[in-house]
Amino acid sequence: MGQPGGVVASTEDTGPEPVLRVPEDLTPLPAVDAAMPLLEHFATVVGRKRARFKIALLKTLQGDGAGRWKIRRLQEIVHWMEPSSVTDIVAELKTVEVLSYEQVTGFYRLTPSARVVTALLDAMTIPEVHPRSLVKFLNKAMALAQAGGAGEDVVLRQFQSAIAVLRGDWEDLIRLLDDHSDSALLEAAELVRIHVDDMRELLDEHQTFFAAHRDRSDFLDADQEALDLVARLGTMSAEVIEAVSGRANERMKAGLRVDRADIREFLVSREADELAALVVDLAAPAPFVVAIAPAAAFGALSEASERVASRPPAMPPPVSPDRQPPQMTPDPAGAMREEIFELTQPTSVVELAVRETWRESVARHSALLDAYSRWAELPVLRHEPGCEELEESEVWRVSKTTIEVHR
Amino acid sequence: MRTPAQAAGMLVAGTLDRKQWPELDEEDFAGEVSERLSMVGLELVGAAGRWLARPKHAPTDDIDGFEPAFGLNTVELAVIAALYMHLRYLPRNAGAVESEEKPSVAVEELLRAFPGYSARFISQIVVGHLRNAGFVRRENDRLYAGPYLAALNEIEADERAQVAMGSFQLRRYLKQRAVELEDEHASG
Repeated sequence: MGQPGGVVASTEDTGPEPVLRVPEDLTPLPAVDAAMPLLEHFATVVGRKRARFKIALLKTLQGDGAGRWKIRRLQEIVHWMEPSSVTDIVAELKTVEVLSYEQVTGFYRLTPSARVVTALLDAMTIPEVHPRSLVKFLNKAMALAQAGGAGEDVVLRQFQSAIAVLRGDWEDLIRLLDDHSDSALLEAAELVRIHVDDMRELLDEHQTFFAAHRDRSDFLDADQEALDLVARLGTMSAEVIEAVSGRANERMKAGLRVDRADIREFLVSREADELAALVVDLAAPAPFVVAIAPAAAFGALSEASERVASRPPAMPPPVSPDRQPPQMTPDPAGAMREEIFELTQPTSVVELAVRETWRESVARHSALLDAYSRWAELPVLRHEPGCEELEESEVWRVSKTTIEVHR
Repeated sequence: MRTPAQAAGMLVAGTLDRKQWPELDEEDFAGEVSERLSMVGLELVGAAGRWLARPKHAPTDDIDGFEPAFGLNTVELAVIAALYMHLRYLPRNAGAVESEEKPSVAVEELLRAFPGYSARFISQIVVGHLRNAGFVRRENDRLYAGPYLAALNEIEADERAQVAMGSFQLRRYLKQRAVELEDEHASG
């Protein structure tokens, strides 16, 4: 994948060219390439030498009401810099087309792109983005993307980023419930409440935009998840704040009565040092040392030293065990299998299994069932409706089943 | 004729049965015993049917040259806390009906609180040490509060237990609520 046309490589960009795994059309790169002329303005202002002076000069110009300036006026407006330095910085900004110069009139102007870049740089001239402002920032970025016509996918991605912030909030809150620090939990809940309020504001402000994209399932899914997180986090943060700040409601208080199971669960949930902290400077052992009579002590020692350690009885002499072959037990299912293989014509189950006594008949029938459950190669069984009734056996009747043997 | 000096002398070497020492319920006698004990930083306390001498302030071992004759290590303190929760805090806070029976807890119940330790270590070594130190009595595999457990400053101990239990129960409630809210989301 080659370097896109018109893109200036950074002088510090000495690493190997990244390799893509999919065609470039399927990546965000074409959109980035298209926006490069605008994005490069940031690089030309921020990413080069004397960046802080250029940014400060542009911020000063943005605050001036005029839309165009001659060099002398610029030197007056940027009064905090030596006039010769103002001339140098202005010349640099003109070279990178942040300032345009009208030859005939001798006026300098901020180009449209430069005005946007300057406004954004001005807004971003803060020490850091505080986590409190994160969702609000993303909300404004969504508005900016819409105003600039960046496309609905860009707005969706920013929206999903805001949702990810709330998702992270939920995970943090649950994690902190296992931590024992009330202050950390309260702080997290307060932050969550701010994010929830900001997300509500975001959803309100972009209501029209979302409504216009109801036909897209990804917008609907994101909208649904945002609404769900707002509801969940709103409830949870409010309950955490109530609980931790000592304003537990009646429902919470109802669960605060203590029983044996609570004590048990509480004790198991705590480490030994946490339990020890409950009584650490309250429990003091008895102040005394038991006085020991020397005569009693030495008497006990004498008695103990006279004791003889018990010994186990000697082991009996070794004996060689008799070796006997294992007993062979008949396998009725195996025998039945042999009988079935010896059949030469279709035979009914009655003929094969039933004998004079009930006991023998049931044993042979069980062996037949066992054989069919064990071996697959036995002949097919054909079942017919009705039963055969027997006269010379203790068995009354048997369902009609034939073993289909054809030799 | 038993004297306050004799009583104080015995209290720094052991405990006295309350029934057999009615003198200590008399204000003058008990006052003199208390005065003698206070001279060496002890106070007279009646607890669990016995009189005992308790240090007014738990001795700290960060004083130069001091080494306590008996120290309670972390596990022993943890077992004392568990016993306190079962035998002192629970009966007062569970809203239980007044009972003639003294509160007790099964040894097995105590062991459940220390799953990371061997049963023998807790039930024999630690409880054995605490029994010798007067914190617990053991009868038929049940544990009863000994005089030194009964003599814990219950206002402060209850306050700490209340804070810890309250925090535990609220967090348990909040975790349950989190599960409910997640379930609502999953089903909705």
